[in-house]
Amino acid sequence: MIDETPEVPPPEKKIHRKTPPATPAVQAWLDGEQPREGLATADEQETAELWARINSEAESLRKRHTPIHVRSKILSSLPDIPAVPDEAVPAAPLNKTAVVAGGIAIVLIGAVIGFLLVR
Amino acid sequence: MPTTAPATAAAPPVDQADADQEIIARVLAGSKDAFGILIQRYSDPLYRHALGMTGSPDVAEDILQASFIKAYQHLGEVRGRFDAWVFRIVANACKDWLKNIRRTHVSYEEDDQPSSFSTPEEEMDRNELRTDLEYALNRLPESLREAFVMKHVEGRSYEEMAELLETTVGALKMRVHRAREALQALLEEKYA
Repeated sequence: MIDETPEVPPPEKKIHRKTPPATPAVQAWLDGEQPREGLATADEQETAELWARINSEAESLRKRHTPIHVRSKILSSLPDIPAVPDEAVPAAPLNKTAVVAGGIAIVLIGAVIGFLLVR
Repeated sequence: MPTTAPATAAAPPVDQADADQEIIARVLAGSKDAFGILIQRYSDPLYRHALGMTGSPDVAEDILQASFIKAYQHLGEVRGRFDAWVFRIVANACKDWLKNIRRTHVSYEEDDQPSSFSTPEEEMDRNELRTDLEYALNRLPESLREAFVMKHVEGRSYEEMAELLETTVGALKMRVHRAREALQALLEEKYA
């Protein structure tokens, strides 16, 4: 038997947010672009309250320092060989004859390639 | 409670960058101890970045150590600001760690920093928020987490972030805004 009762769509699931999403005004406050007093609505103030707590926690992390033993541990584990700049690596010595011979060779190769292409 | 957003950390002054170059020259000339000055100067912000990104003091220490050793070994390749260059080494190491590790739980354990709270209840609330914040941060994509940590935990300006990450202020603002939306959604059930 076919049930002909019209299908009733399920009620939309309402997503309950306890705080409204951060509006552009709240984002601007968090970016330091406007004072908190500039937040006009109660919703914005409510969101700002949550962010004040998060910021407070984040700021406490900003006071963290590298444990003292870590610095000495890093220093003691550095390799003995000091870093050498790329420029300090001596290049292979070049003499005048080698440079001239290299130049002539390049010109000859170019001439041969040109000749073959023309043919 | 602050009425404005947190103040941002200033970029190193130009003369400090010059001073860094002098120290680098000394290290390259063979003075290993001179490298200690650079470690002293930059380890705190780099440690905080690694801690913010990984959530683990032990991992942050390891990343810091490996990064400074790498920096020492490649010091001759520094072009421009040393602090920006070494930051990128640390930032990449953090991203690699996040990609490779499957974590079940990490937290700001071994917190030996002095507490400013007078009552055990306040301390307990704070620890809970810290744990939940870390939980929420772990759920953010790396790029959003990085942007949020640099802005809110390290207190950097967008301009400084853009210089360090080699991207635009607009792109970073977008990432930070998206990170806030995501974190708020994760945290509000409990704290709103």
